[in-house]
Amino acid sequence: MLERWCALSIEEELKVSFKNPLSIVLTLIAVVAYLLLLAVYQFNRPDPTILGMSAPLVYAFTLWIIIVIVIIVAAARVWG
Amino acid sequence: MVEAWQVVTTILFLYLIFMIIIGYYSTKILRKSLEDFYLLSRRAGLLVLFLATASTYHSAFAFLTSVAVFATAGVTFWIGSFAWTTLAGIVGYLIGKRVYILGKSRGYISPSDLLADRYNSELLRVITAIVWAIFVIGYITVQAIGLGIIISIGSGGRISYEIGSLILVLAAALYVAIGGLRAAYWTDVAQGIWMYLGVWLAGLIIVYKFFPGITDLFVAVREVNPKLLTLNWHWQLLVGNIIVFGVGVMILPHLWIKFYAARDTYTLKWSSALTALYLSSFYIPAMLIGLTAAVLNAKGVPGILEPGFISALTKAYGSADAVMAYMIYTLTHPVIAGLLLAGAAAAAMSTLDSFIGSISMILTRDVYQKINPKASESSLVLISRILIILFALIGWALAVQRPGLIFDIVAIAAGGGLQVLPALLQAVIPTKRQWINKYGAIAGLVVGALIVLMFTVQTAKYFGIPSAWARPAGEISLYALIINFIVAVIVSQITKRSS
Repeated sequence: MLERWCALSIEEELKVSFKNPLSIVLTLIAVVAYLLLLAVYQFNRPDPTILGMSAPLVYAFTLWIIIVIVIIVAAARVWG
Repeated sequence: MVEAWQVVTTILFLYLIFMIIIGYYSTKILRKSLEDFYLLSRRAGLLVLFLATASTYHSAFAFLTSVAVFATAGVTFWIGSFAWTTLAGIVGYLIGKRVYILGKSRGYISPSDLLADRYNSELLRVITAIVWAIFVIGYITVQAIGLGIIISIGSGGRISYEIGSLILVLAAALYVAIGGLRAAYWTDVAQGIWMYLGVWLAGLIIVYKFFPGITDLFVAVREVNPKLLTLNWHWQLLVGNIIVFGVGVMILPHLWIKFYAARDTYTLKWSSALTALYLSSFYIPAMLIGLTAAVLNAKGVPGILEPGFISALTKAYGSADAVMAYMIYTLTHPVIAGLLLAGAAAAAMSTLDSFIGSISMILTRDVYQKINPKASESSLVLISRILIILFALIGWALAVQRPGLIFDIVAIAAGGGLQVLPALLQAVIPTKRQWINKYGAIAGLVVGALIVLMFTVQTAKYFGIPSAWARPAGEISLYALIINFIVAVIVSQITKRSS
């Protein structure tokens, strides 16, 4: 009986949960950010922009910052 | 007059002695149990877990081959690597937390323990152990390649690539054999700090030696080869590499067991977040060095670097992986060069130690212990130590064949490891319907691993596969994973559900 109770308790902990609305928002932002990476092919040119960097590089840096912020907020507010 | 190579080599050997002392010291508090030998008695705190995970993830791949790829493929590597390194942190939490919960409650030590228990299949245990052992050898080999390059260049060619690689590989094997993965956790902390500071220091020193600012670097790159400032992978390769390095590497045994070792979920979540930050920001200075290398390769530096030096290094070492070590050696003060090359050695050794430790554990637990179930814990530790030395020597023996670019070999190893994903996801995420049972898990894994092994550009020729059918490892691993999922689900639906 105890073993079964423990097993159920573990299964509960393993379930994917989106009870916290923030977790849905962060998941969506992260998924969209990763998918948006593919848009880089639309402006894949070496022309200089900020600090002489090319548009694909600046774009990748922007997405990186967004994803890092999502991870830190998730660790602080969502991840248990 | 002390020569540069003497200073650099002395620092490299002092670093080695330092690591062996840390490894030896860790044995003073080693309990003779497998749980302590491999998992630090499941008490790894935030600093140890984070630095051990990050430094284990970043290997000779990060310190050597990343610069080589930046120098030849340009910012393409950053566009892919920021995505896979942040994804690695997310995977470290989302999958790692579940692996941790199951590992702690069920007492798992080896990664195969989890799969064998959840699917109730000893055959799955053995097959995953074999798949890992095959692919992990590639990963061990690339660390031996990196170490050979570092010491050969650091000694100004006076210590050969082969002997240098052997010395460093055996040093890593020695401290893991003495102190188990406990020693590796301790050394990984030191190595994780060393390599991170090293790559940033190297980046700033080398870039500002030739350019007044970052903008000037990009102007020079644009003059030399504007294609280096664009994305040069097609989308299938980009996505494949992100999945292979972001997910595949994180579920290889050397990082999987880090999940078991965590003290609690709080430690694991912050370790994952910090790992994402550490891994991704590591590639910023690597990119600066790589792009500088591309400019210097075109223009040369009078009396120091000949134009086309990357081609010369490729001819000498069988790949462009030596670019970073060579630039550090020729462009910085010998003391700085010694410290930075020790950082590069740290990157390779921190991964090598975890791999030889984890693969010895898998073969001890999942194969030897099954053959000899009454073996005592101390005899299991002894077998582990023998396997540690054996795998280190196998990796070295393959490295001396100079099999090619580290990036390609790691992609094959991680792509093979990625094929465990379908079975792992079903094992750690409860679903109302069991989509994959033990038969499906085995079939999918075998099919996926065989596709990676047979259809990758570097290996296809050994299986008689026409070159037109072969693809880069990142791309073929993605296709293999999709086929793996389909096979696993179909086989599961037409066979009995496993308990």
